[in-house]
Amino acid sequence: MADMIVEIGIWVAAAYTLMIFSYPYKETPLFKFAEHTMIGLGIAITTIMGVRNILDIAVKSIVEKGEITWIVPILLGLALFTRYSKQYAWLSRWPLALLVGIGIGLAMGSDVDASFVTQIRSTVTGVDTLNEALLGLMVIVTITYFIFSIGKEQREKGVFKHTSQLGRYVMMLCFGAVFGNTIMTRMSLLIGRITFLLFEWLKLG
Amino acid sequence: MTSAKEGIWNRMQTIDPRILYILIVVVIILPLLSPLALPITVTSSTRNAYEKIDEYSPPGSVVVIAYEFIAGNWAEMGPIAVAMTQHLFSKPDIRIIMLAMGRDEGPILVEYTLKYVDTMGKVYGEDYVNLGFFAGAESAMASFASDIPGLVKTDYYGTPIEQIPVMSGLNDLNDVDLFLCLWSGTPGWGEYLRQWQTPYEIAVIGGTIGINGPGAQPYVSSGQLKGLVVGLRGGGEYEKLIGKPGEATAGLDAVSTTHLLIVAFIILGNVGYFAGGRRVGGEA
Repeated sequence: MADMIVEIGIWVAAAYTLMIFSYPYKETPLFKFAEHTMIGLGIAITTIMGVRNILDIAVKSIVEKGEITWIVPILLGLALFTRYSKQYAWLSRWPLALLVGIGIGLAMGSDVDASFVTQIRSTVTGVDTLNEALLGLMVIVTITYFIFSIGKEQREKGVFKHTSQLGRYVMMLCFGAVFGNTIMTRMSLLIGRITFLLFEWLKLG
Repeated sequence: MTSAKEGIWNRMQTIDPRILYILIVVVIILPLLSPLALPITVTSSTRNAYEKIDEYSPPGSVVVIAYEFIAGNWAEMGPIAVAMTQHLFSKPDIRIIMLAMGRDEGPILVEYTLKYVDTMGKVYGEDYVNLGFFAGAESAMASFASDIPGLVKTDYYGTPIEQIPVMSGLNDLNDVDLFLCLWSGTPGWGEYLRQWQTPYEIAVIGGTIGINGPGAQPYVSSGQLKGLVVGLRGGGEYEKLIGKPGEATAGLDAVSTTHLLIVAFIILGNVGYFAGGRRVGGEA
């Protein structure tokens, strides 16, 4: 029985894969059906996970352990839905403010050090190899591209003209690397799907 | 009037994308059915990640693995997750804690990963545990880091944490020796960097999809990431290092052939563009 369920799952997955693969031909009804099913399933899973989290974490704690403080996040969560009422929409600002506040507070606490200070320190210290020296130089010329406070005339003549031009090339290199990796990821996903079709569905291997 | 020569240059720039799609499918299927066995060279980045795992997981150490990727990325992340998890399971006398705080499908992917991993005699609960998903993303990460017993009450299967020996004596992130961050998007490395790596200076080794590779590289240079395995290729390299060929190794020939095809088409398009007087599709 279990094997049969797995086999049905493989056939359903194969059918949906082929429906999605019909897109390069044109936006077929099969593609749209598969696309909408995927979005529907995604929302369904997220909703179930959310409800389960509320029941398992908050409601269970209130009912089984008597931890009534869990009522506060439940009420704040419910307040988010008041957005649909013109009269009570103001209530939704409180949980939203709390969420944004906590988010920014948590992130800012260490983000300056993590993403800014440490990165600058790493760029300007311990320059031992040609690569590291080039990296530092590329950071500087890229920054000069974004200096807008010196005026158009200054930007278009002298040293800034050349450094900002170099900065542009550096950014092009970076975007090229990102794009190349994006292609690599997309190809890997396609290889994964074709591997599935060949070996799990058609059982050629 | 357009000459025959100009017509060729134009055609080189305006090839029907569907021809490219069909060719890509062909160059993927052929090496999958008849492997070319192209040599796999291990890049310094992947080797570095492998060596750092050895360095930071001596006997007695505690390792946390976060599975922060989606099922849709399994083709690229799966081989990395399986190979790195396998490497850790081969280590004697270490405790492995698996969890997710950014992706609610994380615990299912833990189970899926373990299907391909030889646990090498390690016992669930005593040597490794699947803690499941913790809602809250960055705030859950901060809570875990500062007070593990305060956040973790049961494992994924509902067993109270007091009955799981692998969790005994773990109070906060200072009790963890190594963190393996496997991520494909947000929440992922960025949040763990802020809540775990920076305040606790924990050793982190990453595994991620190809798109994230260039963005994560500066963190390797700065030492915030001790090592990084990127994409299907990185997964294949890691499989070679642990001596256990898997999904990535099988797919690497196809990666090479698709890349060659894409490079060939890029060259064709550019030759057409420059030889045709830098006109796109015949328009000045």
